[in-house]
Amino acid sequence: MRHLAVLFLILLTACAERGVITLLPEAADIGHVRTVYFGTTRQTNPETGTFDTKRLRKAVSYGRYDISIPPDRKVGKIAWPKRGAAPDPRTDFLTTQEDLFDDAGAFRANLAGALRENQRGQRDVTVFIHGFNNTFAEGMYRIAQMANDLDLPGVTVHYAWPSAGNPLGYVYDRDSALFARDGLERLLSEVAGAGADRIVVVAHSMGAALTMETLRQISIRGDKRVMGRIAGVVLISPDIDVDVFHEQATAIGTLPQPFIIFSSKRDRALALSARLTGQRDRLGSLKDLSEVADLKVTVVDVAAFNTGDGHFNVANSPTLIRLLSRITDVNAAFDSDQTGRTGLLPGVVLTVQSATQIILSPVTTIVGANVP
Amino acid sequence: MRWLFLCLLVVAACTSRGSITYIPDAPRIGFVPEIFVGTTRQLDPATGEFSAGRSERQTLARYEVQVPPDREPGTIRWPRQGREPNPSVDFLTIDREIYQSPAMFRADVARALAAQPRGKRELRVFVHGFNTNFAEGLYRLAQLDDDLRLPGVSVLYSWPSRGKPLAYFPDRESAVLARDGYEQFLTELAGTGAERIILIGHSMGSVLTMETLRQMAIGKNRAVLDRIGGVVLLSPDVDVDVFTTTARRIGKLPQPFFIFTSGRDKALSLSALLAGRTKRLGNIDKPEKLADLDITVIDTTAFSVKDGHFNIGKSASLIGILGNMADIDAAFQDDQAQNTDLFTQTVQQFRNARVVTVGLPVGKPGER
Repeated sequence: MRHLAVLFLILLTACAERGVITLLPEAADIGHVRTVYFGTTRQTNPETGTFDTKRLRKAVSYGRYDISIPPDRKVGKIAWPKRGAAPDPRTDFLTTQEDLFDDAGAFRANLAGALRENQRGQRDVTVFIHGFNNTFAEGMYRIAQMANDLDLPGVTVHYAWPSAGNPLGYVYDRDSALFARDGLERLLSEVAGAGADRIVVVAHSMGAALTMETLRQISIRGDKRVMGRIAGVVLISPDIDVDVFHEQATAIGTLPQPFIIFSSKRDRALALSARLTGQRDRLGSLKDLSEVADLKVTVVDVAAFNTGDGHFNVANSPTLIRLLSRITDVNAAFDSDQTGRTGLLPGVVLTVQSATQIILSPVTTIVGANVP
Repeated sequence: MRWLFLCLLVVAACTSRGSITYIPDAPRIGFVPEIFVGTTRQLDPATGEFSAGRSERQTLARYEVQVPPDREPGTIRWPRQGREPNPSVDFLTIDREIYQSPAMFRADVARALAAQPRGKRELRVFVHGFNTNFAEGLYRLAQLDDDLRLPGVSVLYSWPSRGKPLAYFPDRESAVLARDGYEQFLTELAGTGAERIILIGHSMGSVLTMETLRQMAIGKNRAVLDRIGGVVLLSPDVDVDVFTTTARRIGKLPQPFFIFTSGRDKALSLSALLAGRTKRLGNIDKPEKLADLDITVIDTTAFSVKDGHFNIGKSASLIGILGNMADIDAAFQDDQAQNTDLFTQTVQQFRNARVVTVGLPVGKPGER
């Protein structure tokens, strides 16, 4: 019965309307404009001109959007223009300018220009990697909102990998995350090449799996140029099998520091994912710290995280300080994308997994272990 | 339709599973392949068998499995529960050895290779698929060894599949998890003096094979890559986009590179369904998507047995055809369509990729 209810929930949410980009240059006069650079392995839909859910097989597309954050809004919420009504820059998130770069070189040059606005040594880039069940527009606006609300220093870059943007698309997204590894590796390489002094990588849910795979292959390739610039990795509710995480971390060798994993007690999405993938814990919902005790990582329960008490002695990056000091908001922002659509699983799998009878016990609070 | 699959799964969940029956003093009346094994399964001290548990340590072993003389090609018979095993019809393990060190393992493999004539000193490394326990992977390889009687030395890489039809997702994690162990194992094998190493992956074992090739290419593990003398993917349970992007990252694919597919593969239809798509690599219907890859696709739809997910292992006719080819590679070298009294073959070329559709000659009864 419970599963039936969940199934209905999923079917309902599957039909919910998804965010799309609306271009309105005049919005720049009213909203607060935030620039988000991006690399994407999504294909351009030739009819709508937007990046859709199909996979771009040959290369990475690069661009930058200026996104207007409206003055009248609820904190942490993204208001999309109402269908059929004229977009309202006072209440709606809108794009004021879109630039698509012809190639990686043009992207790098433009990004380098933005970085030069900061002093040498202070050229920070935050690269965000979105999670499961996201559209291109949702990922872009969410990151613009976060960067704006956190008043994040430095340049913001988004990696838009080809998620199906569908709560039933868990398996498609898992395949896409594997597919998208080489693209993220190239994007990070371009960011380093543009002259970033420090790269902070922030990844959510399945995006964390993609990030770990990418760091792993960068390390196997022996690319010190990119690895040496990574000034921090933040995984939020990572959707990774603990053993696989171990294998990835071992291959990476010396993990970039700080390496912070934010888990959540109430992570229903991960609880479902753990059921789906077996009785092993997912990394984002670790109940026993001993599972990662030999790795130089810091596992933090978001709910228990107390801001501003200085217990993260990690800060040569203003970006990272800012991110960590507001991590509760970052988490809330990502979480709100998942509210109302926790449904991870295709109907078939739901039934299949119920037969496996796997119940995840409550996550125990873990704070500040292994702080470097 | 999808509920039908589900019913299939549930039924499959109840069938009994293979396990090792070890009778060292069984009469030697069948074909006994020697199979070298690398595994990251946990060794269960109580039973002495490899379980579904993931181990961080790799175990190296050697098995001798007796394939009974009375049997149809493509079939395995397990000793019946509660009955005395019958060596003339049952598969039996007659010798097994766990190595204490990689050096001892390498020495034994080198010894087995030296028994082969020069030019035939090759290792065939088989990686089993989803829903396969240790004994099932091992005996399937023994059966193939008997059916095909290929030259060289037979090797099994056994990753910790749960051996449960409902454990699709845990198995996917375990297959990916096994990459570093498999690379390490192949590195051991490259140090045995083998002239060539042939990689064979079935179903989800293809994921492991491709992932390992990919990381060896990224890490420039030439010592192993230069020894790979061919890759065979059987009914690969791999997303087509993931395959092409992986192949491109590998760069120059080892040659020959065969992909055996079937349009009637029900197992792959199910995993494609889970992914919200219609096709996986192993039941691809648009091979032109693979056109820029240097591969040969062999369509075995005409030889589908049961769920169509392991035709090369289970179809007696297909085994007959392959067994009759002195050299499979040579047989496919010829781009012309060729028809023999055994089989028909049509070849289509899509740039670099070749698609060979094999069929039975008209008038010859096909299999179910």
